[in-house]
Amino acid sequence: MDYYKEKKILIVDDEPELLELVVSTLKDSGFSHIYPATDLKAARLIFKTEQPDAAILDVMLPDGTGFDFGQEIRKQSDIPLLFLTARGEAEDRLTGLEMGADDYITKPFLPKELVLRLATILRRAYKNENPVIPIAAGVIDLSRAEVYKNKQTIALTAKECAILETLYRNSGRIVTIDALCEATWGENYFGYETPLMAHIRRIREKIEENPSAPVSLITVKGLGYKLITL
Amino acid sequence: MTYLGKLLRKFTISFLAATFSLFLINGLVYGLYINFLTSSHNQNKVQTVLETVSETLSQSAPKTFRLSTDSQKLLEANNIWAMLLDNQNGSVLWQSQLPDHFPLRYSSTDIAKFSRGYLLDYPVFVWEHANGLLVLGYPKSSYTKQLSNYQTIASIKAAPFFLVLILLIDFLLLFLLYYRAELRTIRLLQPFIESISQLAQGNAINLQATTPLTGLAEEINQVSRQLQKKDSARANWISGISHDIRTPLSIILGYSDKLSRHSDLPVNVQRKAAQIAYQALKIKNLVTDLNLASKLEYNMQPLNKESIAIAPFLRQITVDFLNFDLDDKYDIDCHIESIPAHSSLLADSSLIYRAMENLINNSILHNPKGCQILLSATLQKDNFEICVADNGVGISADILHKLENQPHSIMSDAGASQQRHGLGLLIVKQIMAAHQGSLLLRQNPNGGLIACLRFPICYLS
Repeated sequence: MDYYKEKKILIVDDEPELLELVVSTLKDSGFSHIYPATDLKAARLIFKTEQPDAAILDVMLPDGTGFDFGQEIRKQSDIPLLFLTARGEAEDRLTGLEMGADDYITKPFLPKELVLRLATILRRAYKNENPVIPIAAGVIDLSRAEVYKNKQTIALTAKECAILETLYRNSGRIVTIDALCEATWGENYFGYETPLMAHIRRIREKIEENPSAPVSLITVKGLGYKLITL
Repeated sequence: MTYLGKLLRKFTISFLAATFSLFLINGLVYGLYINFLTSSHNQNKVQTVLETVSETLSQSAPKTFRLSTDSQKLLEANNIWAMLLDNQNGSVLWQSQLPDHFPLRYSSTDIAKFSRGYLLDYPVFVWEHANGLLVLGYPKSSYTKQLSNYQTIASIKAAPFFLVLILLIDFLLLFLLYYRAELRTIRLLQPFIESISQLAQGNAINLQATTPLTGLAEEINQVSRQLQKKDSARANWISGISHDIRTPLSIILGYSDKLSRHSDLPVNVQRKAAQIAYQALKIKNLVTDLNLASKLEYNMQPLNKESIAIAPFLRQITVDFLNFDLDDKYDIDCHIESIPAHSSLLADSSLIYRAMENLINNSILHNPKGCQILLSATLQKDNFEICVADNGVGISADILHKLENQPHSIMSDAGASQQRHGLGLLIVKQIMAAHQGSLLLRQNPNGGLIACLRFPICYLS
């Protein structure tokens, strides 16, 4: 089971049917600590007593807006916040993201989309808890910056760790060269494409059985890279 | 400005016509007056009376003269006195109705004076009679006489020139006056014309007019406000509806999707649930599209322009589609080698992303059997293009023409008879219009369709 599914999730929505749908969706996906609330009053109480690890908030609520509650939460904690709204306006999205929301889903949504997005922000917020990544040739331990391959321990550099971490957070999906450079070197990453290729080559030497025929760190030509975990 | 130019030209033509008719009428009236002077008063003309009286005044005996009864009547009727002066000594040989206090003898100085002017304030006229000088005296204040009636020949010869000069000056003065008046009117109207053309383009206006048109300006502003209100009401209505649809649709979509994945259910029930989920997704897209289309149409979508690094942007779109799992039926790739590295575009990235997404989805939607999709960016002389090309089934030239030129069915007043298609391309067109660009569709020489977003070159840096 994924470690983040143990997290306490607060869900606030004034539509009982929708609340039920979200709760059952999360339960079906393996989340075990779910705290639903239909208004801000109940939500505040849960927030105080249970101290949830993440919150899914509807924007329009009978006794206030989810944005207001989000701001209240932000004053005390930086748990991941995901807004769920029936208003699709771009300004709303901006307001939500500006005030520190981690993501924003417009209704209607596919249950699996909600689960995926929640998982992403949880993994991002609580990334250090399970940094051991199983791959074809062995295991990568990001917290110790080491790779275990063929009963050998190989050290990873800081940059290599940063690249692997970005790839791991999106494992199974392609990450563009640009996103990798930005995550590794910061916003002004122009011109780092060649160093990135060098780093990727060295990572392959460390994590692949046969670096010239990679199976874990795949190149998608012209676009980016993909990490395949077990 | 061309509108004003036309107005000015029209004004000039009407001015010329007006001036011409003014001169024509003046000439006519003057002619009539001359005609009146020469014809209607002919019988009473001084010269006629002089002639008549002279002819009918005859010597009946030495020192005795007789005037015919008709002439006598003519003199009496017009209140004219008459006298015949002796050629030798200036004494009165004959008289008729001569006022009492008049002398009966006149020196040649007297005669020279009154022949050109007045005798005791009576305007007098003289005529040569066989027996002397016939003098007629008209009632006081009936005629005015010019005491000098000579002109130099040169001044008479110059008269036509001065006449033409006066006419020309008149014409010029009239033209200046007219032109000034028209210019003022046009200046007064110009903000109105500009505002109305702004209104016609669907923009809000706020006219600041000076008197005397403040009332009209306020009314036009009122019209603008009304139109704006209607537009926002329409957009709000659509966004309200879409808001109310979203929550129930979430539940339909959520549960049908769940049921379609519920392994305990029979396969055909799962399949039906999947159908419901698929249709709910279609409604979801329609609602989102409708909302965005109406906002773009009524200029209610704020444009958050930012610098978009083109290569990373296109790579991200490509990867997003690849990560979305296209069942390997669609081979999507991007070619950005032809533009300078680190080129960026000044645009609203979420809207441009949306436009690209719509174009790629179109390619996917129309090619259920799969196709290659290639994103590319090309730099041209005056513009910059981002294209989505596929090698799928493509569309006929006829439909291509319709797609490019006909308004979308929801924006058209042509009724429901025309073929309806999704809002995807309409939104792309609207997004491009908001960026002063355009959407170009053409057939791919290798089969399939090429759709390009064309931006003015100034958006590139």
